[in-house]
Order: sequence, then structure tokens, then C-alpha cells
Amino acid sequence: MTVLFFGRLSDRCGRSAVVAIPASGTRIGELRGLLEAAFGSPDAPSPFGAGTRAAVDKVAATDDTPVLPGQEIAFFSAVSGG
Amino acid sequence: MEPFRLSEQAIDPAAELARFATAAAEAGAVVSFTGVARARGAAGAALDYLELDWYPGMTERSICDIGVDALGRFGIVAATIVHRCGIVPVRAPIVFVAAAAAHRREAFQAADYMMDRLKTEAVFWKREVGPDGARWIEPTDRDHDDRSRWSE
Repeated sequence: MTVLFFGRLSDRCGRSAVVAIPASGTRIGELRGLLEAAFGSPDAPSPFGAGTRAAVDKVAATDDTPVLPGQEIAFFSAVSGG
Repeated sequence: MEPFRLSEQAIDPAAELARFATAAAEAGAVVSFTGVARARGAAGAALDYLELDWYPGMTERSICDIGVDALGRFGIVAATIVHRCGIVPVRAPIVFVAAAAAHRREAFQAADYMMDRLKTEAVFWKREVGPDGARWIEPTDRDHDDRSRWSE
């Protein structure tokens, strides 16, 4: 599945990444763990720590939100318009 | 034209206000606000431009939700939000909001409310770009305090 990144996260992870998830699906929290393993560094604060939000099919999600193959997933840092 | 929308092109506040006031001709009060990209960053350094990243689909919905909530909350007769995205030159308008109501208080409040929510909830990521590099801009404590005024 392709995961999109926006804001400060895109500096660290690029615009998107392909992540393998079980055919039965997963949850945002577990996906966050997979991404942390892929992009985290022992020498730097976690890019997926507190303040990082997620969306499933463009709707805000929590760590408990289910994720199925084929859905559009995004992780992003704090938003700010205006 | 959609009342709550994104624009990759320059915003013309005068034209937006004229269009809005015409559409809300029966209102007794029209309040508008234009936010402008600052020429200097938080540390005082000159900037080249502001970059406004967005998430197509989710960003538009966040703007629309804020506008619709303002219409319901304040009982105003019309509202608009036009928000830039992409590369915004310094001193260029970045956002235009307007509210029309029977009386001024509701119009002022609605415009204030829309801006406070845009600063903390609209799905954008802002980055100041200047000769010394780029820096992400995230909501400040004051922005969150301003937003919390409307939470009761």
C-alpha cells in the first residue's frame, strides 16, 4: 500500500512510501509502527511521534482506525492555514 | 463560484469582496479579512516566498467545514473563504474571508471564528523559504488559545 506524507514528515520520508500490510488489513497504530521502523533513527526524534496525524481515505483517523489494502493513507505533521 | 475554495492563482481581495457584497446585498453588515504573506520570517530574516502544501480533497473539505460551521453558528446570511495554495510570493494575499449578516456583531464574530479555525485546522502545511533556507510554520500557542475561545 502507498502511504502519503505531508508537511515536516515529507522532509524525512519523501512524498510517499510503499508499505506491505496483511491482506486482512491492519490499524493506523500498527502502520505507524512499521513506518517508524522504516524511517526512524536512534539519533533523532521520532518523525511519527505525538503531533503526527493520519487520515484514511482523506478522513482524519486515530491509531485504532482500521486500514484495508487499497485505501488511501496519509500521515502528516501539524496543519496550519491562514 | 464556490463560496469555500482553494486557489492556485493570485487572490484579488477587492474583486472577491465586490462579488461577495453583491451576492449578499440584503445583509446589513459585511466584514472581510485578507491575510497577506509576510515579507519577513519569525526571526526577522527576509523571505523569498511562502509555500503552502495541501492534500487534494481533504484540504477543500476542511475549508468547507469551517465555512459551513460559521454559517450555522452565527446565523449569518453568507460566508466565503478563498485560500491560496502552492507558491505564494511575499506580500501577496494568502487568504480572504468574508461574512455577511443582518447586524455587524455576528459578521465580525464569524470572520474571526473562520480565521481562528483556519489557522489551526485547515489542512495546509506552510513553509517559509528564504536565502537562509526553508522552515515549516506550525500553529503557535497563541493560535491554539485563539481557537479555544470558540470551544465553549
